[in-house]
Amino acid sequence: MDDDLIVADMYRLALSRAGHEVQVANDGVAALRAILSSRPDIVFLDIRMPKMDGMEVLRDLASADLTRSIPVVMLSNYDEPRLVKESISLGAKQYLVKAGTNPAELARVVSQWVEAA
Amino acid sequence: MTTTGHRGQQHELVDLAFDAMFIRTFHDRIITYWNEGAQHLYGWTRKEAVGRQPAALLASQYPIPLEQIERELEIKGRWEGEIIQRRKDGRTITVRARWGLQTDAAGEPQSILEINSDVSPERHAVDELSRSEERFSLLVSAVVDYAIFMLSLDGRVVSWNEGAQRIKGYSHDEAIGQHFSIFYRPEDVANGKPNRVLEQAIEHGRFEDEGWRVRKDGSQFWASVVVTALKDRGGVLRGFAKVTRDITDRRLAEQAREADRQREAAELRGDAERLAELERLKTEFLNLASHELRGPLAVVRGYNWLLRDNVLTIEDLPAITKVVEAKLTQMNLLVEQMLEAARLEAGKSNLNQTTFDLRDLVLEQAQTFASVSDEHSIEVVQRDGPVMVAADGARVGAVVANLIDNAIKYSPHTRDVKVRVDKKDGYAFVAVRDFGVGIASEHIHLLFKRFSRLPTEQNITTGGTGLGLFLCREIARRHGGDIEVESSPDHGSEFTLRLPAVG
Repeated sequence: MDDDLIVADMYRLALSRAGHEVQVANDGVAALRAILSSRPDIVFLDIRMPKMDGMEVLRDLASADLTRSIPVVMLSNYDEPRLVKESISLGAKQYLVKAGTNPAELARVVSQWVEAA
Repeated sequence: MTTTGHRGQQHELVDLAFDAMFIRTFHDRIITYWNEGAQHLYGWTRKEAVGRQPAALLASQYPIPLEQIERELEIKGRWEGEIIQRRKDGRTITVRARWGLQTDAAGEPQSILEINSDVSPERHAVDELSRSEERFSLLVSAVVDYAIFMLSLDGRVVSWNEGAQRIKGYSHDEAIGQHFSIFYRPEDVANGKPNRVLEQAIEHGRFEDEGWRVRKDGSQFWASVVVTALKDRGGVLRGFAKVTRDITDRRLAEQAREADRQREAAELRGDAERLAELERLKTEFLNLASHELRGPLAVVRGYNWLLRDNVLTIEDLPAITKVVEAKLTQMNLLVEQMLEAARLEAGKSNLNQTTFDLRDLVLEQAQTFASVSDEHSIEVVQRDGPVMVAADGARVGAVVANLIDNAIKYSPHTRDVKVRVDKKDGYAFVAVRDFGVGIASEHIHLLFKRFSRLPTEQNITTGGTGLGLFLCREIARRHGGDIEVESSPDHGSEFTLRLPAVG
């Protein structure tokens, strides 16, 4: 989930080249809808998004039975400690800063949090 | 006593008189007789005085020349007046002199009987008193700055001066007999203030106050008042003296000064607040700016990593290099903006003026942006014929780039950005039109302010440092031009850069 299409494209490329099926949503509302309908194995969540920001999405995911168990990794350009703390306390597994993250890394992150199918 | 019988009796009687009496010959002015009274008054004994001349003996100072007095005596037979004389012990005295002329049978002046009584103490007292009364009267009446008047025991006005009339408005006749509570405001009278004033004066001897008083015409003034209880020598209260000064002016001045002080303090507070706000904005800006760089940086680094790790294929390259270049351009722009802002703030930026065709510059910028966003098409419409300007090419380029960048950023759902280059009335124009979210009219004045970003939903997710438009306008104005905007929410905006044309 990222409102920046170019960034989303880049991660999509990296993940699909690593053999994963990728869905992209560009705002919080679309993100929730997509997650609820397709039940992904892992969600990479940006914070700054229109309509509903990442933290809200995270809260909703954590409170719904259907989605509670899906691992969520924050992928944002904010590096404020309070955001990191809040997202972890809401149930996010990890907090990554985009500008410092090799997209190829994402594949490794996936295998870390998703039990082997 | 070598006197004739009758004369002797007379002399005995005269001797008994308190007043100083002596006889002196008319022409020679020789003292022939000197009574007890004279001895007592002047100090010279009979023996010492007889045979002397009074003028010399007594150092007499006559009110008019002696000859004149003697003339008058010859005519009227008597004279009365005041003479200043000196006693044997040197003390100066003032005497009331009553002289009578003694003539012989033929009517020729023979001698003068002088009866002198000492009026010195009385005289001094009266003099002193009248001088002092006179002085005081003069003082009180002449003083116009102070109302000085007296009150009877029951508080009625018994005296009134110029100052009182001037300050309180009542003439002498109008004031006399009135109770002094007429000078107080109705609410003070209801409160019993006038009585308290007198009570305080009686108890402490005086009462001092500052407060509102009322004039005859009903207007009020701020007064400084002292009421003194007047007691006679026996300690008995006889009345009150009241001195009132109109210090309304002083009070107004004090209030004005206080108002000034408060205004200054408020100004200083305002300055401090503004400074604090500016600091806050600066910090916010720095945070915003560094964060903004992260966006494009993530893409450039990301793709570079992918390239390095062999994730990318040859086929990917054309598209990706375009993207990377666009992001680098974006980063460059941000960096330039920050530098420019710093430069402008420090007051040093010299325009690097060259003469060039604005159409070329606009075309160049449009082409650069074409690669940034696939979703947008940037159409440039140009006037036939050159549009020459004398300007700083790099800076003007930055402005145009900024305008196009904004047009793209703020039309996420529409495709077209139209750029028009034209010339009119001595000015060259670059108008950048988008059909995107537009700007609410109440936000327009915020557009060009430094560090300001419009408080819209859109801006939460749209990157930007808030510097762009401020810098753009600064640059335009430095060139003698300006930037104008027309906009309508949901219909898009048109930003127009205007520069003086040459040639």
